[in-house]
Amino acid sequence: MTDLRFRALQRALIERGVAARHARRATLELQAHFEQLRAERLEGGAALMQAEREAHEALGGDRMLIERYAGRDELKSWLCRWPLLCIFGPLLSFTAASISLMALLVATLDALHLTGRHMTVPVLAAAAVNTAVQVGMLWVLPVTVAALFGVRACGRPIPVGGLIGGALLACIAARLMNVALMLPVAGHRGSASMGFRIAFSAIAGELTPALITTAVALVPYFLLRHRPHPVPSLDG
Amino acid sequence: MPERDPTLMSGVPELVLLRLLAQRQMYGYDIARALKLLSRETLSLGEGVLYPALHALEARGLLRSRSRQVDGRTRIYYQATPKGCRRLERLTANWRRMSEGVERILGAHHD
Repeated sequence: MTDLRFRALQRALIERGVAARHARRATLELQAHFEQLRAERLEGGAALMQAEREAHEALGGDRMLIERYAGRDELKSWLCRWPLLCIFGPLLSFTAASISLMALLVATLDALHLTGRHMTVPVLAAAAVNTAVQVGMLWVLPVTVAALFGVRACGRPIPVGGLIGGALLACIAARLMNVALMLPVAGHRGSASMGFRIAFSAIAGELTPALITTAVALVPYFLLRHRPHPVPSLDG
Repeated sequence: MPERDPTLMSGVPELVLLRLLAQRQMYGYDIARALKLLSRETLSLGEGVLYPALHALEARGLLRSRSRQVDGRTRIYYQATPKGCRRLERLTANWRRMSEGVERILGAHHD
């Protein structure tokens, strides 16, 4: 019962937006404190039930403890502290990750010095690498970034609308991005390019694939959200 | 037990926690006992309420914590940082100035 109280308290703290590390530590400390209070009362001659009841009372009610944690901004998770991150976080993270990844690929190829050594790769291999880069950066990366935000948001007081909007923004950005990485082939030195098409007609044309990738990205969020929780809520 | 007025308690938990933890490192239960003992139970914060206050002070860089295993259980010890000690000096000076002012008003004779 006592252990269950603290696990339910931890769950409630996370559901109210307290950062998971603070919620974990809170329950660890509160449970240790409770055990010392109980031991103190048992040493004083109280029966076990009475000692536990008094220890719970001395510690304070769950609602009051939750309010004290949830009322402090510095203890909240970053998504709950800055809710706009749900909307713009996936887009910013996707943009930063794709630029970094492209820079890393170019730097790696530059370090290999293929062109300077007059090395070339077969045309088919170059095309396969280009396709892999495009699929990775324009499909897998936005879905992964949006899915990670969804997983982080799960079980927290974050509006689903904001989360869907954020995932959609990242997926639209991915659909408007052009990426190409051509390794040197016979008669061609190789090149890397990256850009955005900014036009309303382009957005309208890419909306359906963007919606599909958004739906895929949010699958983990909805699965986690609707799974039976191993710990009962404080509301019963 | 004396009655506690929450409106008079504003800022007090931060001041007393920093004062205790500037002297030595302590863990939650230890702090709760020290507060009861030193204030002769006039200033006992709710015992569970101690922890959000400690976590918030740590998040603001005024305290640091480290965990230690004692009798097979993890205890988290807190201690004031140099920034926390500077904050304590300022809060103490403010508190003394304010309480002197209040004392003067309470002790004044009005015609």
